[in-house]
Amino acid sequence: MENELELFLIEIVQYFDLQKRKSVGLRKMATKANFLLEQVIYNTKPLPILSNSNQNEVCKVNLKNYNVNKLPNEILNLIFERFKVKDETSNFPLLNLALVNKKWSTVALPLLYRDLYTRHDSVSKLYTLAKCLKLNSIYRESHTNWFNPFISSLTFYSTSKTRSDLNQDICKKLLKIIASYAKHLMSFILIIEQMSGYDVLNFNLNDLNDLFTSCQYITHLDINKLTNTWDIKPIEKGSNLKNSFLKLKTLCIMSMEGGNDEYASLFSNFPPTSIEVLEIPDLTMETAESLKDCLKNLYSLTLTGNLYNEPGEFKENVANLVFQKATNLKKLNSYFHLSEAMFNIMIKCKVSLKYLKCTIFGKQVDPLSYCSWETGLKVYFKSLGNHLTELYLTLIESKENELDDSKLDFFSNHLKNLEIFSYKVYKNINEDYQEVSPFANVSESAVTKFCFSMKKLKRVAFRNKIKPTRTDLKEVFKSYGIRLVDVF
Amino acid sequence: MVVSSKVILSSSDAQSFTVEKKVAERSILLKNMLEDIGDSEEPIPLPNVSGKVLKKVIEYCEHHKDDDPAPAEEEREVFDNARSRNDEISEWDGTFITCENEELFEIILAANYLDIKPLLDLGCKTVANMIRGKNAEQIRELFNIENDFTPEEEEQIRRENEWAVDA
Repeated sequence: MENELELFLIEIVQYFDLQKRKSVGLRKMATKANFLLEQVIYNTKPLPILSNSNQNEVCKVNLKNYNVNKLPNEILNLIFERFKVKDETSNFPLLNLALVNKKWSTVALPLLYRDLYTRHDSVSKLYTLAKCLKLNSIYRESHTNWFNPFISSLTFYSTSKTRSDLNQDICKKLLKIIASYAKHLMSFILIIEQMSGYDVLNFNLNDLNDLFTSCQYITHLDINKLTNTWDIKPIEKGSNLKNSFLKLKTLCIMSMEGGNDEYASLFSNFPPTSIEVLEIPDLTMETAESLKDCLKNLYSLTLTGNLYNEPGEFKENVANLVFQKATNLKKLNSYFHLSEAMFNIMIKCKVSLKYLKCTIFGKQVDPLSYCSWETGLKVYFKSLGNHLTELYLTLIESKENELDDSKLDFFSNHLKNLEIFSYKVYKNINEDYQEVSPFANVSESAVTKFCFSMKKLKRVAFRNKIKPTRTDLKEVFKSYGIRLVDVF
Repeated sequence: MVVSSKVILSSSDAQSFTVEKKVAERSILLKNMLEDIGDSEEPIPLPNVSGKVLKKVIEYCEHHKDDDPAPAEEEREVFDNARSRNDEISEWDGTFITCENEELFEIILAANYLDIKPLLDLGCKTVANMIRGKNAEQIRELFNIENDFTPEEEEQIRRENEWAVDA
């Protein structure tokens, strides 16, 4: 009886939801129906969805699907985790998986909500999500588990490429409702993309403060602000932003259009002991000054756009400040613009960078070009390499980047672990470049000399899709106790 | 059984396979077991793996015996930060894992039981690639899965997750 009542109310809500645009009266009725439904939901048994309504039925399984049904949920979870929450081939593939059968549903739905991705350019879409969260059995029946907590990560993508009915106040209220269902939220990613002439969500520091107050376990904050109109009003009196950020460990900031004032405002609100991992593409003197107290607590810094105003114009003062203050830095990721000038600053600051053990240069989407070998890496390896034990290089796949005898001399003999991956990029994808085996152009005597000098080296890894490393060289590495690995 | 770095594995259907210790140690389960029991002349029983599947698993471990061991959590974090998640499958692995669905699932179960993470990843990647881009009906058809939802339950899932349908 109670279930029937719930279903009846859901039907009413759905009906009014469909009709709500037609008149104010219908909208009010929809609101009332929603209220009644909520009352029923929270005072009676959960909806029958995913309950074992067919528990007594014999599961009809033939031999062909014997094994797929036998796969335990943990393995289905591993398979389903491979799907991005939203990928290019299908909108929300996890929902498709949830509709296959009950077993798949119990695995796919918690995953759909674990890393919640909301792309919203209108209030109506946000409303739909908030309404779904109110209705959702996954939340009410606690079908989530320790490895799939309910909304552990929330990505909020606000774009204004299309005409929208964006209402700032309502939008923010709905976001608050969504956040109220995300008590276990650990990661918040905000992506704001604005086209000129259209409104975009104006998510300011006060809103950030509200979010941190509601979701007290956030340790990762990622702001991709692709607009120049972010509200930088001072924090309202009485709100304590510093306390909100106390648990924050990882901060990633991305901006397409400067925005240094906002950074400075944001960073000046961080307590000095909070951030351990920082990713920031566009450091200026002003932001670096604001960060000064935090920098000494960093152990990982990622520079992606970084220490240049214009090509060739190097922000020496910023680099000096960053590398002098980041005295606990253990890991540095730098994805492009590696130059002799930057490394010279680092070398000057090498006393401060005494804990720097691991550097990652380049990544799959931003591999390093050939010039990085000659201008940056060569200087860096030789001068700062005493601290360095791990090096990860991702290079553009090209003839110039292939290893040869002279490049082997670059590497510091303090390295314990070296990885070199190469990737094609759009610039050279049409080039008639034939992938060669790693060390194809290196002489055996150079490899022997290299292995002999690298006393601490334990592992060298190459990513090479087609050609494995020459067998004869593998033997040379092996004889010096170095594991040579081809990563496919 | 360990004789001059060899180990004897016994499948659920009593087939015996003699392999190098290094090959067997691609399985974390076997590696731990060998560390615990030390040298023993007894075959190691694997009651959850049939001879046919164990033969395939050994073939995989033989081919990858010189690969890196699975990285520790801390190392994995560094690696993940440095690289995007890799969904590519090498040519050899692709050929190896091309088999009937039933056998593929048996390999995944065996990899899970024996704790061979790279093989488990390969199996999961392969199934994920088979599913990718298909709707629920096509997935059911692919794996011959019966739809055990009532129309009302199916509709309820769509309704409760409506945001994901038209987002």
